[in-house]
Amino acid sequence: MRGDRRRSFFTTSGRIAKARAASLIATDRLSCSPEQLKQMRREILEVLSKYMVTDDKEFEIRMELIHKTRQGVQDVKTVQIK
Amino acid sequence: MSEVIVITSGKGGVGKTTSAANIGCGLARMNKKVVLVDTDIGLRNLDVIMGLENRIIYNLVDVVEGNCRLKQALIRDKHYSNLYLLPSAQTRDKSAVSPEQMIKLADSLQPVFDYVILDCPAGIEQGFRNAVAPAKRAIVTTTPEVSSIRDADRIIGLLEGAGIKKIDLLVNRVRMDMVRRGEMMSVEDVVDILAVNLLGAVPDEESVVIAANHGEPVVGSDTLAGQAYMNICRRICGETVPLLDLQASSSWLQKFSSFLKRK
Repeated sequence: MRGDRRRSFFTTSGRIAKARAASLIATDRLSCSPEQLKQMRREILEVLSKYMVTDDKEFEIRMELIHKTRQGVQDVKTVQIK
Repeated sequence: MSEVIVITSGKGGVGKTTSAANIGCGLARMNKKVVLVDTDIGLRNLDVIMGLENRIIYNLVDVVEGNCRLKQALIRDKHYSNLYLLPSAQTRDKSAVSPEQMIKLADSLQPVFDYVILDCPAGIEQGFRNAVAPAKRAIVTTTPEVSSIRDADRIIGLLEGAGIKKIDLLVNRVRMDMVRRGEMMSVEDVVDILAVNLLGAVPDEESVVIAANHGEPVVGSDTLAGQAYMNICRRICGETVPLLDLQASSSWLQKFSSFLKRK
């Protein structure tokens, strides 16, 4: 019990909840599963590595849904990747 | 100028009906003419929270179907003479009313009342569409929990899709003791994730349950939750009110001891 509390000093359940909520909402908005997001990340890094040396660099891929419009029966999403 | 506001959440049990009742009473305290409409056909609750369950003769479905005049179905509140309730039907289901009929109903209420508050059922089906159809403004209720935040985000998307421009957030059931320990998301965390305007936060207090037991509003009482709801009502009317310090109830000694416990 005590050990639990000490560990939770750094990763409290509140922080875990926030991270889970944020990731859920991102996947809901993009209607894209977490696995697909991981796969996308892998492929983006693969493409980058074709053109530059990426071994010694750390990458952060930020994706943001900037626009969503309804055309007929389908939602058209515009995603910005940084 | 009359306003039609829907109180919604997606997830059930986060406090839509309690919030609707307290916001209605709070606005009535501010001398506004208010009507609360329970749109949850088949599962009516708002009358019970308000303590008006014994006075129901006609309901929303009767009005829509023309079995009675609108005035006959409106129930005057026990405490506020400028607050009325339009109860929902208990023996029918959601398909008894259409979004068009709800728009017509709201149109006939608007000339008489300053605020038409629609208490939306949980879910995103017909009941939700009925409640949202006449609304120009929405208050999305959520708790600081992952599941209700997810549903709130979905609801915000649907409200935007329905053309509602003014969407505000109400964070309910905040437990400051847990937030302090880091075991609950803070109000700021929730606003961060959902990225909508914060209308106010209500602490999780016994007073809310006790008030509901009596069929009375908590707003107007000398409790933190009552003050929080009152501030929310003032913000709805366009006043700028600073956010209530939900920790106000704890003394410096309590804060100090909870700090020690964290270690």
